[in-house]
Amino acid sequence: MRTRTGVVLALMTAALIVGIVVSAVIGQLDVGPRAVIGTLLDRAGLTAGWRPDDLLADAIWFIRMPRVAMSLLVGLCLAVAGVMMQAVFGNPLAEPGVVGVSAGAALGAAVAIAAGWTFGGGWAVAVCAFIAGLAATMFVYTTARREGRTEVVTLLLTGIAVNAFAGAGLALVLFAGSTASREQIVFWQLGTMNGSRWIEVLPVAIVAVIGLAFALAVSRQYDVLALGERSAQHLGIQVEPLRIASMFVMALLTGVAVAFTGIVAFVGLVIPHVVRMLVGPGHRVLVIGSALAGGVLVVWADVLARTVVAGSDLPIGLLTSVIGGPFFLHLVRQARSRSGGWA
Amino acid sequence: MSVWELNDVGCRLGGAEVLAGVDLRIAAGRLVVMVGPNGAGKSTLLGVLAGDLPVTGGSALLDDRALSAWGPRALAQRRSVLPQSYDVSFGFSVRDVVAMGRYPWTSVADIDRDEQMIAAALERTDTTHLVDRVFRTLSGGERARVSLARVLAQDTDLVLLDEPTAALDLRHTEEVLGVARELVRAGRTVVVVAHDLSLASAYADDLVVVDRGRVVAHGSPVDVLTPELIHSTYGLAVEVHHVRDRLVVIPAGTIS
Repeated sequence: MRTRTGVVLALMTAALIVGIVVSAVIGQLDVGPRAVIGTLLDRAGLTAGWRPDDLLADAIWFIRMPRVAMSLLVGLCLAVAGVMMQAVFGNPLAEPGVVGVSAGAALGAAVAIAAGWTFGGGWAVAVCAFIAGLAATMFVYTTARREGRTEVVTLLLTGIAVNAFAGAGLALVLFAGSTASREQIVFWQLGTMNGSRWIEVLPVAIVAVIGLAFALAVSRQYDVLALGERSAQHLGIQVEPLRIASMFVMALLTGVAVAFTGIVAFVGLVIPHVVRMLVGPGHRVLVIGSALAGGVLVVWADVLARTVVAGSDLPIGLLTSVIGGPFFLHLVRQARSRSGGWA
Repeated sequence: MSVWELNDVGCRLGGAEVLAGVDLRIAAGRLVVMVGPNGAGKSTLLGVLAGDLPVTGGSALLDDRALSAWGPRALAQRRSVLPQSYDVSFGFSVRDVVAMGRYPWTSVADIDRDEQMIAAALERTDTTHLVDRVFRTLSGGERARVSLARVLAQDTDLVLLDEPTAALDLRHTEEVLGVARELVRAGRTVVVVAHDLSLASAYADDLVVVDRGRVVAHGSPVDVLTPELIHSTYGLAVEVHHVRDRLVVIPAGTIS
């Protein structure tokens, strides 16, 4: 079991490193893997002889690498948020979207685009998406909470209502908006890593580090939570504070990812599930594995996004959904044949 | 000396008054079995003893300190609870589940002690052969025993068991109650909720009879289990027979 986990994590790390290099190599400007590695080593302060000339090194570092880093971090954020969601709900089919974070963020972004807000130096859309996503989640949570306790089913039902409401708001904005803003909203929703800059990568990186540290710190508590709320309490876990903190961090992770890249579907649902099948349910390894696998999926999905159709940049949400959709159907069928559905 | 001391305790769940005016003292080192009809409030009373449920009146003390004033970790090191249902999300193995019982002792006990307690708990519940199985694939009775092992691994002085034998076959029923007796012999205090009056009387030091949210009797099985009391609480005429050193309760007129 231990060696298997080690092998899986090593393979994922390898896939990630190869993905990073491949992603940086692909593009209009002809760049070899050697130049990419040389640039990265140079930035890391190691002077190998492989550094290309300044023009090429700058192109790699300021144009290609932010995109790669954003893909990696967005994958990490969404996957770790998915693990947290499933741990808190004790349900392998939960994902951050069910409590309204993505729908809220989409509405926030749409309003910002349609209204033409440009505050914060071009960050208006990201900021609105982030705040609306967080607000939607907190609204769902506080509504579902009564007498200091949260019923999971009530939470999910409230999430459905808020999702529907945000969907209606989005439809209204699309209906009322100009043709140009409509197009922009639609493209925002499809998700893209195109045009990522280091300055945008930074907040995502900060949230990713916070989220990962939090998830690892409470991983043992997540394990015990699998026994159910009451038994976890009997073992000394303060379930409600753990849930509140987890929901908040989950909303931060998803919100920041969605804010900068749009909706990248299915990562939060599929990655934790696949990783659980590979390394088992223990949350410590699951968090690490999902963080890696999330990065792998989105980095490679971004590679595909740029190569499947020559000369065009497909929406990344499309690719993660194309991979995630059939897999999700498979999960549903499997859950159905094993236990007769969700129950 | 009392471990638990409930004075005039009430408890409301979802607006309904489930317990009212409960006075109960449970002494250290006893095996106490709580019996009573369905919906009488046995599990609620156990929940109060466990510190899960807030009381709406009176005072509920554990070690002379209000249960509501206990911190979760301190409470987890003092009492363990076997719930009525045994669900575990995700594919955790039996070993994982039993090891979770050691959670309250994280960074208190060393790893050798943890391993020792886990092995002993598996042994006593006859589940050692199941360690590598996934909990969710076990049968109902196996789940019950593994959950009991998890409770034993918690290694607390006070042990609360809510219908531990409901899913068990004859042999394992006797074994589980034997484990409870063994705990008491080692100086621990065990409170069990059970339905089988004959079985309860065979193992209990004290019986607590709960009826309509009140404790209506508390004492040794021989004193408590009278046909009159059983009739008034269960609404069923019964005969109480002495077979060897056990009491056997059967509906009246079934043996002619």
